[in-house]
Amino acid sequence: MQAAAAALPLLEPVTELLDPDRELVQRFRDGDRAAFDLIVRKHQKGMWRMVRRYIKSDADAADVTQQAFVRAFRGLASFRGAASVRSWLYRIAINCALSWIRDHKREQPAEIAESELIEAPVAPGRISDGEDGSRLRAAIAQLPPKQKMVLELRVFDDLSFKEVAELADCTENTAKVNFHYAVKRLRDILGGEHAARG
Amino acid sequence: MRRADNELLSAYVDGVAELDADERKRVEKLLEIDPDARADAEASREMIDRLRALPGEGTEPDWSALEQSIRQAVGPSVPSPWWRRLRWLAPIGALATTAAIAVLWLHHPVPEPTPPPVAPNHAVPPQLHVHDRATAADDSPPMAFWLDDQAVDIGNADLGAVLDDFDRETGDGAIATDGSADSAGLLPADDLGWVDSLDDTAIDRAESWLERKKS
Repeated sequence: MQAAAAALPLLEPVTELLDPDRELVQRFRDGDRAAFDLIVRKHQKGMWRMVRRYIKSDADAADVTQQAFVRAFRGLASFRGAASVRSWLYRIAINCALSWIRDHKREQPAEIAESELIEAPVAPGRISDGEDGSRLRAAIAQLPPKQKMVLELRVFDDLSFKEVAELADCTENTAKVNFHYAVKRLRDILGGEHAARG
Repeated sequence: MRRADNELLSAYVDGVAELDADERKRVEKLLEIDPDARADAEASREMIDRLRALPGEGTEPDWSALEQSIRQAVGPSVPSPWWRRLRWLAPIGALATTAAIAVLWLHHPVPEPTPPPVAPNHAVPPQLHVHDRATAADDSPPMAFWLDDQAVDIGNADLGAVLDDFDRETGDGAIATDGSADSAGLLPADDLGWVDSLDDTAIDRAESWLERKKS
C-alpha cells in the first residue's frame, strides 16, 4: 500500500476552507465598488474559458462573459452564500452561454436543441494542440453529457468536487463517481483507438 | 472490495484531500490488496495529467480590455438589494401598525377574564368555613342548602346577611359561600354536586339552622 500511495500525489490535508471570495462579497455589500473589480480580475479567465467551451467564437465568448459579470453585479448584493462565489458565477455564465446559443441558434453551424446544450456532447473546438490533443477532445466529445460536464469542470476549470456538484446539480459523491467513469471511458476510447492503430 | 471503492479511484488520485476520512481509508485499503486497482489508479492519473496539459480552446482575449468593458457596463455605483432600497418603509410601517393597534384597543376594550370553572370538592372539611364574606353578597349566584334530601334554594337572597345570621346562630361561624375548592354547605344551586361532599355534621348544622329560621 505504501508503494501505491507513494506513487500518488498527496495534496494538502483535508480542511474545510472558507470561500476566499466571501470577504470581497461583503466589501461589495458594504458599498466598496472596487471589490467587484477584484472579483472580475480573479474569475474572468476561468469564466471565459468555460464559456468558450460552449460558444465557438472567442469574441462572442468574451461578450457572454461580460454579460455574465453584469448579471452577477446586479445580483451580488443578494447573494445568499449557499454555494461558493465561484460556482455561483460559473452558474450565471453557463446560463448566459445557453441563452446566447438559444438566441443565435440559426447562426450556429448545426441546430442545437436547448436540452442538447447540456446533454449532448458539443463538437470539439478548433484543434490547435496537435494530434494527441485533437484525439483527446474528440474522445471527450463522446462522453455522456453528465460525465463530460463533470470532467471539464474538474480538469479544465479546476473546481473542487463540491463546486462541480453544485454546478452539475448532483451530490459530491456522484460528481466523484462520474469523474471516475469519465476518465475510465476516455482511457477505453483512446486505448481502443491505440489498439486499432496498432 | 466494494464497487463504490473502485468508483472513487480517480477522485482519490486527483484530489485525495477532497475525500473524507472513511472514503480515503477504503480506497487505500483497496490499493493495498488489489494490484488491478493500483494499475487502474495509475492509468487514471496519467489520463488526468494528459487532460490537464491540454491547452484551452480558442485565443484568449485581452483581459484588461475585458475588465474595462465590464467596469463600464456595470457602472460606478453598487446596487442595493430590494429590501435595502425599501428600508425607509420600516419605521413608517412600525408607526402605522402601532396606530392601528391603538385604534382597535380603544374601540374594543379587552373584556375582563372570567375565572376558570371550579372542580367539585370531594375532600370533606371537618368544619365549614366562611370565605370572603365581604364580596359574597355581590353578584352572588343562586344558593341552596341540602335539607331532607332536597335542595332548598335560597335564591339571590342577601348572602352576607344569611351568612352572618348562620354564624351567629351556629357559633364558630362556618358556612361556605363561593364554591371555592374547600368550601361546602352553602353552594351554588345550579350545581349541586357539592352535596356529595358534605358530611353529616355539616348537613345537620345547616338543617337545624334552617329549621330555626322557618319556625
